[in-house]
Formats: sequence, structure tokens, C-alpha cells
Amino acid sequence: MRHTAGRLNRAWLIITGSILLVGGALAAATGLGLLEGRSFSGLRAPGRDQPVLAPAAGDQVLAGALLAAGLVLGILAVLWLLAQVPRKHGASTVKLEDPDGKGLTLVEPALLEDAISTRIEELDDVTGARTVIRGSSRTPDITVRATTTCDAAIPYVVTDIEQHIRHDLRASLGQEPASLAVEIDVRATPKKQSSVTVEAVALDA
Amino acid sequence: MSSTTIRRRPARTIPAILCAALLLGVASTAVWTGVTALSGDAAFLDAAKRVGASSWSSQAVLVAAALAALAGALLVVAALVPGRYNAYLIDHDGIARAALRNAGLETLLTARANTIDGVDTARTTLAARTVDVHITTYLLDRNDLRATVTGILQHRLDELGLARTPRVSVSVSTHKR
Repeated sequence: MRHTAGRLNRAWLIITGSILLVGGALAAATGLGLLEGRSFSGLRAPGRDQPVLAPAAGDQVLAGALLAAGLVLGILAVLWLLAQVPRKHGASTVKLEDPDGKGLTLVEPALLEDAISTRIEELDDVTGARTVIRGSSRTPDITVRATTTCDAAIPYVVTDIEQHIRHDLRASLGQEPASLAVEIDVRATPKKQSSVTVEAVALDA
Repeated sequence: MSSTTIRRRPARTIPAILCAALLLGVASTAVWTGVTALSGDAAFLDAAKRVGASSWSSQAVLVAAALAALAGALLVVAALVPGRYNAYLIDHDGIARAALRNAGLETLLTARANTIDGVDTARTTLAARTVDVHITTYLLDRNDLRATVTGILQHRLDELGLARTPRVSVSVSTHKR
């Protein structure tokens, strides 16, 4: 339903992991004396008894460099953390134009989403539903997560949901969904009915 | 086509949060050290310089380097291993793309197994291509019950119309009397 930062996470994990892996390996190789006397692209590897850091700059320059590097790294880390919040990326407003081009109706997507979810929850064996609308009124992109009971005939539930959404969108937006994704979840709790209709024939029996 | 994928592989949120939190900790320390040094208190900067003055061959540096390399390798593996999808695609002829979530499939099969006569408890876990169901029973004839449960659950799976139906694997253990 909601979008997560999967690609971003994998990209940054590869970058961070590679830096740690190569850096750690080079540091260990230097400490064990494996790189003693070797040079790479004009850079001579330090000796194993040399200090790790021998800053030539003064304390003020060093402190300034630490502050700047810390700020850049901190901002990147905070942005990465914020990216972990799942995003809905839903449509902002659904705009319905009059066929003559004289009128414009703005519809809050939440209203349509609630209406679709409520209609789906009325289906047999469906105990809950959540809907997200993306795209525009001409190319609505619908994602539905429906929760069913354990005994539900899943293929029929999917067909029912599709038929309801196509019918409702045709009636409300005058369009078929450009794409429709249906996620089915199953809960062990049975469907709760607020009222039950018993036919007279059944009572006679 | 849709901007929404019907099923996803793991987003690697936990390693990402751990890594970002660690980077934030390092960044905060660097900023704190820089700010205190610029304001005249060089205690943190002197401590950092003492750590930096350690030789490459010192035990602390070697251990830190090995730990960094190990952590880096773990992060790269976490990023490159794709992980399992969170749902099974459902074969459907209409315009909808449909999928059954893994947790939902586990719930469904566990509930179905619990309705079978002779089954006391059932637990379902999804593997790569199989559904592993572990049941406990008071019956002595475990083979018969295993065959019954396997048949019923496989039939229930076939009814779901999944694009790739996993194979049911049932293990039975008898309660000690």
C-alpha cells in the first residue's frame, strides 16, 4: 500500500558497506604489515608502526573540519532516517472537468477511498478494506488491501472487488481504473454482522 | 502501468535505521568535538588526537579494522541479497493484479489445519518454495494424519489460484502422555 525506501536503503547500504569493508581491510592490511613499502597511484602505504592520524593542521582548522564533516554526515543521516517513514504518495486532489469545459469539480481522494473501502467491506467474507488512489481522474490508479476470513474463496473475492471498483469508478469518475492492485490479507476473526435477516421459511422449519 | 508494485521484497529498513543511527552518532560526536574545541575547550579534540596517535599495528586499531570490515561485509550482503517477496501472486483474468500476503496465507492454512480432526495445534511457516506446517496431535498414527493434513491443505492451496502454488510439507509430533 505505502511506498518504502527499499532502493534508497540498498544503494546506501552498498555505499556505506563498501567504504567500511575496503577501509577496514586496508587498515588491517597496513597494521599487519602486508602493504609495507608498497605504493598505489603515487601514494605510499604507511608503515605499520606509524600513527593512524598525524594531523599537520592546527587545532582550530582541525576543529572546523570536524564540525563541517559532522554537519554534512549528520544531515545525510537524518535524511536517511526520515526516508524510512512509509509514504502514501496518493493523489492530491481528483479534478473532474465538465465535458463542455465550463465547470470543474474538486474531490478529496480520501472521500473516494473511504467510499470504495466501505463498498468492499460489504462483500461476503471481507472483514476490512483500505484503499489508496493515485494518478488522476482520467487515469486512476487504485490499490486495495482487503482482509478476508479464513474460509473465503479468494479468487471470487478478487473478482468481486474488481467488479465493484470498475462499476463504482465508472459511476463516479466516468473512467475505468488505469490499473488496479488488490492485496489480500487473511485474519482468523470471522466477519461481524450487525444484523441478520432470518426468512420465515427457515423459522417454520 | 501502475506506480504501485503488488508485492515487494524487504526494504532493509532495520539495517538502514541502524546504519543511519550509527552515522548520526558519529556525526554528533564530531560536531560536539568541533564546537567545544572552537569555543576553547580542547579536551575532546585532545582525546581524539590521542586515539589517532595509535600506531597501525596496535591491537585496538586491528580489532577496530576487523570489526569495520565485518560490518561492511554484512551491510553489502544485506543490500545485495534480494530477500523473499511479501506476497504470492494470484492468477486472475481481469484487469486487476492480485496477490495474497504471506502472513495471510500462513493464517489461512493454520486455521484450516486446526479444523482437521486429530490436529491439536498447528503452526505454519513459509519457506522459499514450500509451506511448512507443523502439527501436534494426541493420535498415535502420525503417518495417516500427515497424509490427511497434506492432502487437505494442498487442496486448499490449489483453490487459491496462486500463480506459483507452493508445496505443502507437514511434520507431525505426538504429545507425550
